[in-house]
Amino acid sequence: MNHSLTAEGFGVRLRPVRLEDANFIVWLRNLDHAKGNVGDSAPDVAGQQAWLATYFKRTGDYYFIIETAGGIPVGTYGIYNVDKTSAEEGRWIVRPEVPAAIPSITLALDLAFCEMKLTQLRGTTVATNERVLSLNRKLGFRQVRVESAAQTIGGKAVDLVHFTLAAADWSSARERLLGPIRLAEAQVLDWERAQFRKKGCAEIR
Amino acid sequence: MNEFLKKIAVILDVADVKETDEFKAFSQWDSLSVLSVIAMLDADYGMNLHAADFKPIKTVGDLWSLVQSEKAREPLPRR
Repeated sequence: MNHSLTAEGFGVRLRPVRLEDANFIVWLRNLDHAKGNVGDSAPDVAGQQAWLATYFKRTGDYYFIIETAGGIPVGTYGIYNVDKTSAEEGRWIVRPEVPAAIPSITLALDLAFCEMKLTQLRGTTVATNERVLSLNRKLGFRQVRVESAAQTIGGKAVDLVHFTLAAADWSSARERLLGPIRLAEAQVLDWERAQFRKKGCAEIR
Repeated sequence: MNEFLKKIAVILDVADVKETDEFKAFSQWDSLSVLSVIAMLDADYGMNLHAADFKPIKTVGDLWSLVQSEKAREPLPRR
């Protein structure tokens, strides 16, 4: 869906995905830590562009690029199948060398519950993806059920764990994250400065 | 060392950890745990690690060795 929602804070920004992000998305979704943990997607840039062209026409689907304050893309996130006050969330992938996971999910959940006024989010995680299962619980998600062989990823049937997150549960969890978020923010900024230095650019701050 | 192991166990929310335990073997070893360990190392050992510094660290003992090597360098480097 062509949307204009953005959010910025904790060293990162969420902005609407653009057609020219196809290259980054293909690269990101084919990183080792993503393969097998996210649904199959277009294997090449042309296929991803075609998927995005369809996405832009779809209502109730908000796909974001996570980038640093200086505009370096570091991940993706999506809120979709919006139905009045509830929606699904997913497509969350962050470059593994950047500690942007906690800042970006905080920004995303704030956007969902405060800006979009949702009261509940639903999500699924591949049952073997223990790091995200653990993080989901710390973010306040409640496990609803496990769906056996719910999806085929990379030719293999995978079990999916279904979660829901209520706005009130996120509010409680968020308080506990503030310390780590500030630490992560500082580290994202350090990483960004290092990237600019590598490129020979002037530091942005 | 014992005190260090206890602190790691608290972060991972497990009864105890051993020097030979691999971080990745703990289901609780997620992005938030990494940040919590970095914060603990900063507060208790004066080390300023980055998430990327964990790449070569496999076991709890590897991390303890890093703490020891940093302690041996006085004054402690700050980034």
